[in-house]
Amino acid sequence: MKRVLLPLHGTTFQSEAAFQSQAGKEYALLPMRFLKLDASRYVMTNMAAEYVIVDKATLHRYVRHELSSDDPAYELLKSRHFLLDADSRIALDLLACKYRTKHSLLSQLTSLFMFVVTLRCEHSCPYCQVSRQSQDRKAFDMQTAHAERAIELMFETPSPAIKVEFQGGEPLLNFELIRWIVERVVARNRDSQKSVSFVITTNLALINDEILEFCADYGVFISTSLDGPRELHNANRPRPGNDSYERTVAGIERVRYRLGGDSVAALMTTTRLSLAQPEAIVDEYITRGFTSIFLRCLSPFGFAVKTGAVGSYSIEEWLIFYRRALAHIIERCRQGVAIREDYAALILRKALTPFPTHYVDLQSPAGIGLACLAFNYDGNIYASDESRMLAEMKDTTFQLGHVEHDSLASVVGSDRLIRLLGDTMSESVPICHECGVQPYCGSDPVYHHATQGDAIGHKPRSGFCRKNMEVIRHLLTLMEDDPSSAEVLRSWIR
Amino acid sequence: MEQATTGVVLFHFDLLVHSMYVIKTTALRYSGHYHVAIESNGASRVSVILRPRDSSPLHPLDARQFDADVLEQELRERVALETKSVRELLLAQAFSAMALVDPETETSDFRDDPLGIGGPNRKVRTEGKAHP
Amino acid sequence: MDSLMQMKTEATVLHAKFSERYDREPCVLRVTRNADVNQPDRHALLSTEKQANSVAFGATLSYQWNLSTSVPMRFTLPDAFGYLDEGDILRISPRSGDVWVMYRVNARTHSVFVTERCNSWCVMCSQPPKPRDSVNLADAWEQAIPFMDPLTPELGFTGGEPTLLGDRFIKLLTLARDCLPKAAIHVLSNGRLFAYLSFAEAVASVKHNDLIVGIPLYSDIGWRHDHVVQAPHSFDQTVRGILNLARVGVAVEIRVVLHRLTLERLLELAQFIARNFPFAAHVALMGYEPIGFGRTNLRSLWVDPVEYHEPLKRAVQWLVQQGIAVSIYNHQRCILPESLWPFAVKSISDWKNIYLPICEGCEARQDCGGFFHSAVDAHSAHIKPLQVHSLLS
Repeated sequence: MKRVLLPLHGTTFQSEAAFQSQAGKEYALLPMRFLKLDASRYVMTNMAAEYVIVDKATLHRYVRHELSSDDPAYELLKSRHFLLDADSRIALDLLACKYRTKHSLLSQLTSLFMFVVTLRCEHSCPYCQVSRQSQDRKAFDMQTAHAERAIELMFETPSPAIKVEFQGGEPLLNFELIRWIVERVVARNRDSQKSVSFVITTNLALINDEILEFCADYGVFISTSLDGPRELHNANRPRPGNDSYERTVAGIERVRYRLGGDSVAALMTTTRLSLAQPEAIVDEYITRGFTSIFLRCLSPFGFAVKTGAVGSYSIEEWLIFYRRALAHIIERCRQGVAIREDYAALILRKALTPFPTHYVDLQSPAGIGLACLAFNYDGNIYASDESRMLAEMKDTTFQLGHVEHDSLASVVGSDRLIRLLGDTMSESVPICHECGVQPYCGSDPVYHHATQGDAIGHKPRSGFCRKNMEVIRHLLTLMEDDPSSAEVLRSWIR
Repeated sequence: MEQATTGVVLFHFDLLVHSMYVIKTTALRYSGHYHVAIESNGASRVSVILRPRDSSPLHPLDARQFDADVLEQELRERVALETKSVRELLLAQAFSAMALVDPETETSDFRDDPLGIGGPNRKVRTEGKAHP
Repeated sequence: MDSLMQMKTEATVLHAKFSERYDREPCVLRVTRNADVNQPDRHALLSTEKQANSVAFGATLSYQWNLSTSVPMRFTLPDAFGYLDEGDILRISPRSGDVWVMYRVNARTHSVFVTERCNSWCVMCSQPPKPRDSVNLADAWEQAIPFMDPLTPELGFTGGEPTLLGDRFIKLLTLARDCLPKAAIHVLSNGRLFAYLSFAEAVASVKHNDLIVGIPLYSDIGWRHDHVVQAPHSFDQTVRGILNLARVGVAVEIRVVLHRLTLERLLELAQFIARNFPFAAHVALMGYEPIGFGRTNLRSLWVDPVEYHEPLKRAVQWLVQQGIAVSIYNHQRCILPESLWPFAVKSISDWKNIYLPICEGCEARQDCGGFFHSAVDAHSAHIKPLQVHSLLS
């Protein structure tokens, strides 16, 4: 729009030039990091996780204080708090506020509590990370006394909301304990008045009316595994009768019928077999009525290592799979289907909103122990689900205590955990501390310990780093270059 | 840069131009695909030797890329140096209950209006007499 | 309230000059038809010929006088005041004959106009500031508020800049809280004095249970906002004011008047608001009022709304996706894209809310906000009545 000239009404109004000159000729840099986006551009991020994409020449001019105030990038960088000049200092207050907001979940401490009610399971998935024991070994069930102690410990948390997640093995094999725990938690919560939610992760083979009634009464959600279309799913998840897919789908329908459409979520695992069929997997989720899918990469835990499943594809192959799947999801969105990719939504929420996110593996300090805790079937307390999977392989590095003799304070406040989290924070380790996408990434000490024997990890050789860096670059490139995809992606942030 | 046999690449740097810190941190980024060795080459020169790892046989190194990355790292150092004190102020502000950036608005009585927000030479007090 | 039969085409008259003069101090009086009302000296009796004993009343009002009773003050009402009703509140300056209708019981909106002074000088200001108040408005409102209908659902504090009254402003808020327990309070302020934490705390200490402060922000860039407001450093002061109000738990609404200077970076401003003020209770994107400085600078600032559909849609979409409540004020339905109709609100104070003759046959008029009375000769070139079949297509 053209320059505005206001009439002089007895020299009543001052011109734009008079006010623009307040800004002065010089600017100061505000704290920022940058990373190459592609051959010609960089992504810059500030302390509040806001980003700007600029070409190389602009980045250099900006750092050298040679960026002209007429350059369109100048006001973009000023507005997004990458530079400060003389007309306004309020950027400092705003950045501090926004930084605090992004880290505000820290003070709430732990909100996700996993109860491994049993290690028994009747499936034989080669990528199983849990190292399940076969069905008839009751030694692998959680004791009621331990569950009771765990619940007491859980209610020590300052978090106003808690999520209780039942894990296994196959948790429904110990449904009686699930019922007991839920009832105890609800009774205990009458004093605390926290917002409590319950989830059972299950393969749904054992779902029945009694369990469904119970879930209806207490508002319990179900989380199940759906790897893709029938052949793929059954190949990934062997079971006597080879009917895991049929049971899963029937189970989903049954749960929805009794508990409502939103009551069941599904997670997928990518195996070598999955790589060739991203579109089919996405369409399977759509057909089954899911409105979101979380595209995950295999992690090196449990049987996934033993059976060689985890080594069966590279990060680069997974990234090809991811880009194809994402493109297909976006295309389906354009066609009016309600479907969203959760990993992308998480990263976009970090980039496009001022709010913090909950996902344990994309936090710095890492979410293990701080945001989540796992109570194993034997009463041991672990920093995360993966931490207890490591323990099944005889590595107890991330075991934090035991319900019999620990409290939340002693577990979360232990020197060991604090030092571990502090040492691995992406704000202070080599390469991460100056990485342009650090605000969108996280720190995954368990992954790096499992893959490299070092919780910090050598990031140039880290699959976690490679995966996140590439996914983030891909998303930011789509946001910048592809307006129609960007419009779809923006609709996912809430 | 020199390219020896078997894909080994050699760079020479003048420490009067680039700091050791910048050279090392740049080399660190390459250590995923290369074994890195850094050797002193006189009072103010270093050599950086990059030998491809077995796991990355097909990763040809572009010399200009390494130089560009060194320059990029210089930029990072410059930004970090220039923004260090602001960063510390922001972190202090983020975790303080008080506004540290502008203490005057934080602690003044609005009736005194020391910054003259209410208008030039104007205190924020009740005015106005009844006019017929 | 607007029936298809009686489309309002002129502003309600709120000021007049009586022909009668008396050597008496200004007074605030509640209008009544009830000759036996309590505290008659605080009331103005809306008289008919049948009523006789009105000596005790502060004033007596009539549309015509056939009586020759001796009452302390009697005034002849102009026809334009035909709407006066039981419970309305007047301020009369008997020496000059000036009368101001402060409060109308039947109004859709109620404004508490507390000062003509302002510390800003916005280039489109619809109420250009005066250096001093010609009337002690704070005194007048302190008398008027207790007379208002206790069930008044909402009250808007406006000016000038209401916060310039400092402690008197706090006192008026407290009075409103106590006299009008059902009233949601909406304060229109440039927010600058809230840069002092002490002032934000003073407002918070009123502990009003339904208070929101509406604060304009015109750009994401400091000097650009300062230019619209014609006050250096006002951007920093306003933003700090918004942050302080959030700190003390007072709700804030952000307002943007749409014209050439603000439309240039409207999407950037929406993004700035969403990123920096996620706590904002509401954002109001407002159509231009061509009166006062808005009339003076009309040619420089006015943009026909049909020219800014795209930036407006993008800004609204961004705010909605970020979970921030948005409304579009002062825009007619026929010049907004249909996708934005759900956001368009009937926002214009009813006394100055009119429709144009061309709106007579419009079938969307029930939901349309209409115009400012000053827009009679300054509105979109594309106003036209809408038909139902085009609405359903």
